[in-house]
Amino acid sequence: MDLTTIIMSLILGAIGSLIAADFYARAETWAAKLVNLAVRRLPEQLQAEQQEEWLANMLAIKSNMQKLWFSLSVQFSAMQMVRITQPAIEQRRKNGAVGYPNVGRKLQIGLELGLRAFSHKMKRQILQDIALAARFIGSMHRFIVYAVCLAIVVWIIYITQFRWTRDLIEYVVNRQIFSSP
Amino acid sequence: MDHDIRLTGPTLKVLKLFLDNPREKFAGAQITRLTKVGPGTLYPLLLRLRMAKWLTDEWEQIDPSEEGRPRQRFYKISAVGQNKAREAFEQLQMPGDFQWI
Repeated sequence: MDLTTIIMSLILGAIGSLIAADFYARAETWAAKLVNLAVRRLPEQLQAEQQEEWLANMLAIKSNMQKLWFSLSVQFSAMQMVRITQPAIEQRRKNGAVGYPNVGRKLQIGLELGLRAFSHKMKRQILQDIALAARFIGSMHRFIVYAVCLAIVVWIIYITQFRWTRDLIEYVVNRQIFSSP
Repeated sequence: MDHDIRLTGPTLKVLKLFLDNPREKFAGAQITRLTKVGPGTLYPLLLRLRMAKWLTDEWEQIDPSEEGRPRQRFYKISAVGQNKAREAFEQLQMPGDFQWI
């Protein structure tokens, strides 16, 4: 091992430990930001109380890494909580009171200003369409998960050497109907 | 409005904790520690139980600006929750002190 390699290793080691220490020190801040991000997904009536509860519970955790893990977990909580409260929102929409879609405060203000030129009926229709689009985009992650699961299953079947799946994959990849025997 | 409670493994764990300590209040972090139900599952579950009125909630009596931290929210099982949870356990034919969940 020559001198340059040793010096480079020492420098890289020092930089690595500095980055790790910095990451650990900032983990709490990032965790708090992630909690706030999760809170923004929630319906308005839940946001304030859930933010307080989650931040209090996060601060009760001692390890910074566990705080980060907690903040990632509450992202899933938020998604499920939206689904749980969805029937109530749907009911309110059916009753005629169309709320702004859950798209973040800044975009809501933008919509409010942008839609002033439209009549009430037109405005309601546009908001309904945006809410539907937001819900569709929100549910896209499920399709991605299903697609990945399906791909894994097909791949497992492929490596187990079932003829028909191999042919199917080859058809998709090579655009050949069936490979020659 | 009657909310349907799905009796999944985590739900049973949480209900068992509350049934064993009907007079005690638990914060979310405590429930996670005692039941090993992760935050990703726990909070939607608590929301469902709260909407169904099986649990009641109350906030910690502190001034956040003085303490320098947000208030904790505590959950407690309601009378309705106790009855319904006991019924649920009876229907599942599980003894109160099952260990395998």
